[in-house]
Amino acid sequence: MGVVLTVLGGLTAIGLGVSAVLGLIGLARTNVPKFVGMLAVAIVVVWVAIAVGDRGKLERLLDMLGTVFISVVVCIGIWVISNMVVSSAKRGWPMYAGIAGALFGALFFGIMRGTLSVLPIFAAQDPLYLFSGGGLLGHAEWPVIGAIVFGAGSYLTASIPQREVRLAAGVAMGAIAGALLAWKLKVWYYPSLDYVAGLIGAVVGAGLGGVIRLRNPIPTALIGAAIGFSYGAWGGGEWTGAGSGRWIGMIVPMVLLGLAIAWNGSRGPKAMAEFDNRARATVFLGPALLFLFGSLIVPAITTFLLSLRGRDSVDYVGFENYNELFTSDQSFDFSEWSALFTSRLFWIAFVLAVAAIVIGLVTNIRRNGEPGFERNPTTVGLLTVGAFILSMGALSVLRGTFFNNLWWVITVVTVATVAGLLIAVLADRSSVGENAAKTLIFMPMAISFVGASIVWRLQYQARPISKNQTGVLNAIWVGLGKMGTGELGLPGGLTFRPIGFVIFGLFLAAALFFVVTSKPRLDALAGPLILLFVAGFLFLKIGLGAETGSLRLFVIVFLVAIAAALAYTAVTRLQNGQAATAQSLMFGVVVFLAYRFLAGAIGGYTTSAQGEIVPDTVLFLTNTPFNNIFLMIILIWMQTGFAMVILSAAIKAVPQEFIEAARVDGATESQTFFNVTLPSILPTVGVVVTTMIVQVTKVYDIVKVAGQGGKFGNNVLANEMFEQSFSFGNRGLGSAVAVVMFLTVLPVMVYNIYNMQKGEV
Amino acid sequence: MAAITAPQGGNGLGDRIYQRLADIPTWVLWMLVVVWTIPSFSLFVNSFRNRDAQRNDAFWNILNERDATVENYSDVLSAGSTNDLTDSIITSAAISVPATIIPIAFAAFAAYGFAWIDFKGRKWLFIATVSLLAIPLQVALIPLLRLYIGGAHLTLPFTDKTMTFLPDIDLAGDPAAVWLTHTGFAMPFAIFLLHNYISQLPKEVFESARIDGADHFTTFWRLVVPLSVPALASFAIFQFLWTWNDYLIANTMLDAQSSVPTTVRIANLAGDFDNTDHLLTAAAFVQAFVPLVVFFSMQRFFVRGLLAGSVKG
Repeated sequence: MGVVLTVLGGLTAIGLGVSAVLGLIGLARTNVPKFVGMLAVAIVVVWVAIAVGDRGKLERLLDMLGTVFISVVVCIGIWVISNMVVSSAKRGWPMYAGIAGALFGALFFGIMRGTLSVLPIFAAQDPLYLFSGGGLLGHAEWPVIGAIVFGAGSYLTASIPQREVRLAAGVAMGAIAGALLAWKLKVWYYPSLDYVAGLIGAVVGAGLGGVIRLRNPIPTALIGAAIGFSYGAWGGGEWTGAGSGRWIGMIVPMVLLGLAIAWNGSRGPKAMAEFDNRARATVFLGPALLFLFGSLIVPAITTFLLSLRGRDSVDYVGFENYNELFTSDQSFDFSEWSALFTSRLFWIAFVLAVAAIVIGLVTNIRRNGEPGFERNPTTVGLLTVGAFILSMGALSVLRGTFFNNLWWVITVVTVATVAGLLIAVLADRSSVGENAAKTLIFMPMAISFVGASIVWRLQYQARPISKNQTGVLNAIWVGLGKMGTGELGLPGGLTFRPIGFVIFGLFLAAALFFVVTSKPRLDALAGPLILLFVAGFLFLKIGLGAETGSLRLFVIVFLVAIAAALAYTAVTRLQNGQAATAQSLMFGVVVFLAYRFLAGAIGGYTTSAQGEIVPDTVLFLTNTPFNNIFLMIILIWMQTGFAMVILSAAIKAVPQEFIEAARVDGATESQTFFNVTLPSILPTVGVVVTTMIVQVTKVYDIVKVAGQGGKFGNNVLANEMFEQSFSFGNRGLGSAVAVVMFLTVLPVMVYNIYNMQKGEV
Repeated sequence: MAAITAPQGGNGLGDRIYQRLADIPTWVLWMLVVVWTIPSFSLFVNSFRNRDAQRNDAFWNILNERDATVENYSDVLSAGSTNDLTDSIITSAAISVPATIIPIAFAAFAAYGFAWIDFKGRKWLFIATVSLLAIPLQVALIPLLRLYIGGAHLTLPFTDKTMTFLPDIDLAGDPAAVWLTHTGFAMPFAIFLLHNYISQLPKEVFESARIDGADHFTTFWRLVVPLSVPALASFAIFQFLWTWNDYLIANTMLDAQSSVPTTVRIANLAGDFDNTDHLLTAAAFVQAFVPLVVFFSMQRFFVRGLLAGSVKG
């Protein structure tokens, strides 16, 4: 029974909370309830599950709800009350002055009495209370006294028309407040004030205060003088308990404050309207600016200052941390650079570059009859791919945190943008399920980095070769490796499984259908062949349970058949004067695959000590340096959806007339894309690229969770910052890394913000 | 595959089916979709396999095993078991709910102030605010942690006295430390996003409200908030997913002993290789449940937020 009651009570509490918040911010009138409904259902399901399970959890949940509710209500409540105070000025200035004064007085006296926080320097961690202490509400009567003194005083001074009388009232208010504070000061803090310093402080403060508001300088100058006097006199003095300066030290600044409050008196309608604007601006911007100041500006400055100090944040060490960061071989490691020239990537890039140059030179001579380099999609494309591969090669031999970060940025940004663009274009052209496909590609954006890391750890898992592979990629890869090394032969010892025949039948039907309906043309035969290939393979594997050696034979035979079909098609097309680039490329790929199968080296394999080729697992996440690439794939998997969504919107925004005009002029699909669509979406590509550069520079979670904290030569800046600051307790170095990260993203962010602002303000 | 092109003309059933089948972009697109989905799908399938099955074979063997089970889910969701995630789900909610509502409120106030209240230096203050987008999270983490567990103190120049601006409020291990941090960091982006929208509202609305005697407070509450619901919703979704999925801030501000949100909990489980690896599958889906619900139901608003705010740092 008790459980049921708590369940009902909790449900009601949630319902009330949700509807109160929704009603407050006016969401309820739109189609948002669908979302809120689903979220509420999700929360309730989880919640009921917890409630059924454990009573303690329930209490924690209600506790949490209460805290959340109070936090939200307090934050928004203070804002609403501030607005009401400002609104009260409409009912007359003295009214406003009284209310504002009372609030100020309550707060001021509450803080002074409760936790006044001026500490002798060497006791920084242990607050000493000048008065009785006990927290903000330690003495509940004290805020009330403050509210009465300042409320009544402000109301009076605002209602008195004659300036002399008004100022006298202000002085009286200040004197009373000061006397009260001095009276309650604890004996052992009685000060001997430094009057000279106090005078200097007052003059400086008055000057600064006056400059802030040149149109009406006196009140701010008075406040400045009050602060300056306190600063100088109290700060310069000794608080030994022996001095007699407490009365002067408290009363003088309070009187100055009273004078400042009393100076202007009531205001006319014009001044009131102006006041309303200024006060509203303060109230509307205040909370946000407070947070910006407290959690961004001040901490950023503090971090810079900490980066100049040692590991315990005390000793000043100058730029020693930066020096350590930039000279450490953990950050930049050039020791393996010469391996670049023996790496496969370098030579691939080299071949591509040579090919690009040769093609460029030859086409230029053929077309223009004179030597030179022609820039066309083929040559530029080859050079770009070559440069990308070269950078991959270079970054795989240049090790260290900074190079890893650079590697991340280049790879993830390039691949995710290109893949996103490709998918956006494909989705734009495709006839079936454009939105469903986009949603599925986009979905990883909704998962956390931690979740994505877990997803991919399963893909990358590696187990000893003698066991079954549980990781998806290794299962496929080792399967290929086993197939590539299995003894060639006909299947023997077969087991029949009906499901295999069903699959085979389906694929066979599809292939036949393809052949029948396509009014057989030779160049269309590759498609059915591929379908038959898949069908036969699955039939052998699942239907007959064939072992790897016979599968290998089957694969080789079929690859040769496909290659022959492709070659035949390419030759026929060339004879008819048609282009055959795609056919030739595919022919090359298929022949290469067939060769690898025949030579017994494909997928996961290694060469054993005896020189034999044997299947082996790939340790995706621990083999330096390419474990970096496999971590990057996780981020690419997540960010491609982002690039796709934004670029897809941009592609759809390209005016249809442009594209039709290009088609009318006889441009091919790819010409239309490269000469019309791509130039029009280039600014959006820029936004995607810059945004991703910033995101990737800060990558942390993936390296931490999937990369096991950067222990395998896969460290990055954000991880280094966290490890140094919180694991190795070297906050100086950690701060220096953070500052370097900030400086790294700064140019990109400035560019981004500049772009954002161009149409704005 | 460019070799296969649809024959021109002909609109019989066979031709139409052929054209569908010969639609190369669709085939390539869906092949990519399959590649993109297999990772999540394989984890999802594995979450229904027991420990031994997960440790013996790859996910597709579930077809041979015929013993799908929900015990992974019941393990991570039932109170009392050692790998119980419910505490951290509560903590996640305690972080992301205030970290969504409070920044929305404060940023909406500020966006309205920047857009429709006339004061001196408005333009520059706005530019300064948006420029703060450039500050990466990492730059502020250490000082914020010091603030939450030590208070804010400043040695006054020219004196030997130290002033305490904020006493030690001891937020170590408290979700409040996390959502306060999120609130500060969300501010530049939120103000930017909401200002874009609120400043585009028609001017006449504000003028007629003014003539009817409404002050800024009334105008904001009665007009701006109802009119800005799409922008508010976009930001709410964006911020909710951001905070629910955050790992760095939570991992910094909350220590492992006290209760941590789901992301940190799962990352800790992941470090504990042998014993709990099979539960990670279910745990990851429990963690992703709420974001996925939000994502699928509110995709439109989410995309809009993403498009508008492709600059969040």
